[in-house]
Amino acid sequence: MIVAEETLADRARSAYEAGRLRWALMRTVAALAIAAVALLGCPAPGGPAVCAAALGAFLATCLWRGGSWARGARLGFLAGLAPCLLPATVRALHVSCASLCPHLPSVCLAAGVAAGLLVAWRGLRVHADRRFWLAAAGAAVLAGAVGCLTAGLAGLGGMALGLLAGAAGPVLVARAA
Amino acid sequence: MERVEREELQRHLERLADGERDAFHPVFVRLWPLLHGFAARCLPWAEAEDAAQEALLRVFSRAALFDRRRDALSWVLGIAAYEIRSARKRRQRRRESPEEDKLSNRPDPGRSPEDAALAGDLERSLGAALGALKPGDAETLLAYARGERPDLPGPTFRKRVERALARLRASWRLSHDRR
Repeated sequence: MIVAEETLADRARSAYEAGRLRWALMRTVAALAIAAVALLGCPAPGGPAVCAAALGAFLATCLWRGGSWARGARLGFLAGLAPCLLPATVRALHVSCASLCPHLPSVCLAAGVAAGLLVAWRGLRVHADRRFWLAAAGAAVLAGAVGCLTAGLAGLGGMALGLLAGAAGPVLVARAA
Repeated sequence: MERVEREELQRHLERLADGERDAFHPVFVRLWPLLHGFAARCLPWAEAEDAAQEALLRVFSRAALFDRRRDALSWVLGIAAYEIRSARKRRQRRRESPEEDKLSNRPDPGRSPEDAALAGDLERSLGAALGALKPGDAETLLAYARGERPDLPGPTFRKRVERALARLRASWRLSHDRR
């Protein structure tokens, strides 16, 4: 079968995009499987599940797009694992929710600070562009929201505040230097 | 492939694996002749074309999986080698099941137009040369051509055939030399 080179190039491009999408979806499924741990033992998993779905769509899009989007999303997800999994870990360590619920927002705040620090430190080191920062921030917030929303809006607010505070440190140091 | 070209392929494939779409064209332009040539060394032309296309699509389909620590050319040729092996196996399987391939392998019973014209020309010339012979010689040659044996002793018939053939040759040479 002889195919014109233009047609072959079109088919090759389609194959590339399809392969890339498949690759992105496989990684997204793996990421969601990790994030799903945050929902274990969650009394009201509705909100966190919606965040997990949004995280999946966001990660899949960024990874498929590639370049700075993919690099940023990878780092953001990695950083977001702290606020994502820490509340579930704390919940697992305590038997009764009544004794720990008041502490969960502060756990989210601390985990947010760690995530913000990691994203800002790494982003500044690689001289990231705007797309990288957008992808990293989006993935970190959504991954963190999956875990911290189990602690209610206070948990989510604490995580967001922590992220900003954590990221501010390296950014201010870099500007001063 | 030259060292510089090889390094370029490595660089562009790394970019493509990273999701940079503008690396697509340089990779395509380098890979298609390379894969086609590689497949043509191992397979008949038509199958080489198919195998090279399959290999090319497979390379692009798996470009996102390319590990930048690996050598791009070796990676690409590894995929192509797999496709060529598959094409060979398919061909071997086709040979092993002749029922499937009976029709495609059957030669065309009809002559090509050129062959038919040449054969017609030859028949007409032969007819004319036979017509120029004595009726006895023509009958002997026709009987010999049909595989018939007249009621004659073998050596006598053989002698007659030889004589008729010699006259036919002479007549043929005469009429064709004139042209």
